[in-house]
Amino acid sequence: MKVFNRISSIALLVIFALLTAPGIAAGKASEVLVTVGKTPVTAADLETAVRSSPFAVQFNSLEEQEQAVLRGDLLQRLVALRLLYLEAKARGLDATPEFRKEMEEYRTAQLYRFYIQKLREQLRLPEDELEALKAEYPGQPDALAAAKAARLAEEFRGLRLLSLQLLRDRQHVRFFEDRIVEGITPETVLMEGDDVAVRYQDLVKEGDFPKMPDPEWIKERLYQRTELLLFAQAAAQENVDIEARMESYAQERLPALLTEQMEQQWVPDEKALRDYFDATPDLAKIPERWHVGQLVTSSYAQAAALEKRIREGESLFALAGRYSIDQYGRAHNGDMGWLKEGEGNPEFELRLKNMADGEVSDIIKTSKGYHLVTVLERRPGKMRRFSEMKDKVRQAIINDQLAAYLKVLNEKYPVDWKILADSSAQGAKSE
Amino acid sequence: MALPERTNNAWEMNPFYLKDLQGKVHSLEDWKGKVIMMNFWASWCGPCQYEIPEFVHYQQQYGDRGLQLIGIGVDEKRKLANVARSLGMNYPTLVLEPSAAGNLMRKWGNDAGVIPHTVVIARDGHIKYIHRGQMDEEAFNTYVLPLLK
Repeated sequence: MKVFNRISSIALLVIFALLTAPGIAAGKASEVLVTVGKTPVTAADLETAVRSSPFAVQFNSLEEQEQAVLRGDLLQRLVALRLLYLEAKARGLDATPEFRKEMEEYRTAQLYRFYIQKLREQLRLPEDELEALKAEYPGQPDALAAAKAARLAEEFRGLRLLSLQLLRDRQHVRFFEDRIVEGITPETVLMEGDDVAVRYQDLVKEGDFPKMPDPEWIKERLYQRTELLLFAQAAAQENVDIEARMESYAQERLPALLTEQMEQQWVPDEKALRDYFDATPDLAKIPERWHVGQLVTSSYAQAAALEKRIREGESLFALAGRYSIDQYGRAHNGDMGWLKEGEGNPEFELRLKNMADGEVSDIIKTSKGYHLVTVLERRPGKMRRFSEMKDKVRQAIINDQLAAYLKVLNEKYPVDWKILADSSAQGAKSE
Repeated sequence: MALPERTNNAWEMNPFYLKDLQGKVHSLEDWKGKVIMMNFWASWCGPCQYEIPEFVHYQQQYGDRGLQLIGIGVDEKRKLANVARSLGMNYPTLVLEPSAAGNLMRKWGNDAGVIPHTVVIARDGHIKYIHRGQMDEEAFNTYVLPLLK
């Protein structure tokens, strides 16, 4: 997101310079690159961000400099997320009942996952059965793998059911399906054990349905929830350490919650969108585009001679392929592709705007030489309507506001770029 | 496994010549006598990038027992070189122009042109195993390790 690039352009430049230095990317995983408040961002954090980004695969095929730019950009994003995280905590967003409940659900899910994984790891096909499968599928690794997977899946189903039954017995779990009737209340207990319970409100959120959903669907959820709780409880009793995962989840969720809250302030209603739209007319503008043909020469005399040949019937494109001093143009027989209004030389664009399609211009002088141009095709510009681009307007407001907000947070919480200090030290040494 | 050249021995097949990332021309015979794992890969291929670090590990661990990984990169040389640097590849990558890849891959049992694709060749040239897709540790232990004894 562009917005994160605005935290400090100077910092970006220095980070970029540092990251392009050989060795930084391959630095120690524990190396602290920057601290935000008191929390460090390490080289390992940055690498995790790179590896989990959408461009993770492409990243490895990039040049070192390109990789450094992306690392620098991601590092700034990590800093921005830490700033938002600290502010979210300062505002007590981590102490709201909703967030605590969300964290509890996440904890339960993680513990459940651990238990399921543990069950899976216990599964082994007996050696003789494995040998029999290998004999059945000689030299067919794909078929062997599929047969093994099918057998293990079967074993897993059995083991899972057995474990569940064991835990249910141990907890003296009882179900009260007969309570799933019209008039059920959120507090109605549908499952109870020694140290575990499921209420109706754990299965059906109040307000989600105008009337009671299908009882069969509720029962299905009841049994799923029971399994979730029992397995999670069993994992918790084994003192599984999931604190790092919990912290990592909070570090992702709290910035998102704060941003959602701030977005409500920044874009409270449609009027805010309309006002921004009216004040930023460029946002609605779709520029005119031209498919351009061009021939460039280094002297006016040659351009004049070629112009004469074109006027007498020769093709600008054929001549561009032979004589143009513009390498791209010569390679493409003068076909320069599409040019968007605002991206080229203003004088050049003015000519394109006023020429008819197929007409060849008179000689235009620029710093690059003497040009003869033609428009093959054009797409006229237009202004988009407000109703067509509310989402874009909303995003533009958020980008502006978030960039400004991060600046404020950057002043509130100290950001200490350790890699800058390291770099200075290295620089001093090398001098 | 049936290959189009009607032989199951790499040294009886028509040789191919490809340049490595430094521009030096190689044929497979440069590594004759070793246990060769010839891996077709590309820079855009996610599964390739998962298995390459494993191959780097195998090369490091079993190189002195005669294992030789050879990457056949079906891609632009620049991209291949960047991936080789990024992943610390410790074995050669030979550059195969994508336009010419189909023919060579077909000769090595890859009619569908699937990438990654790995061919295991024993010391005497026999093609012992062809793996389509990402190669896991189990396949390595089953089909490659016994050849290193």
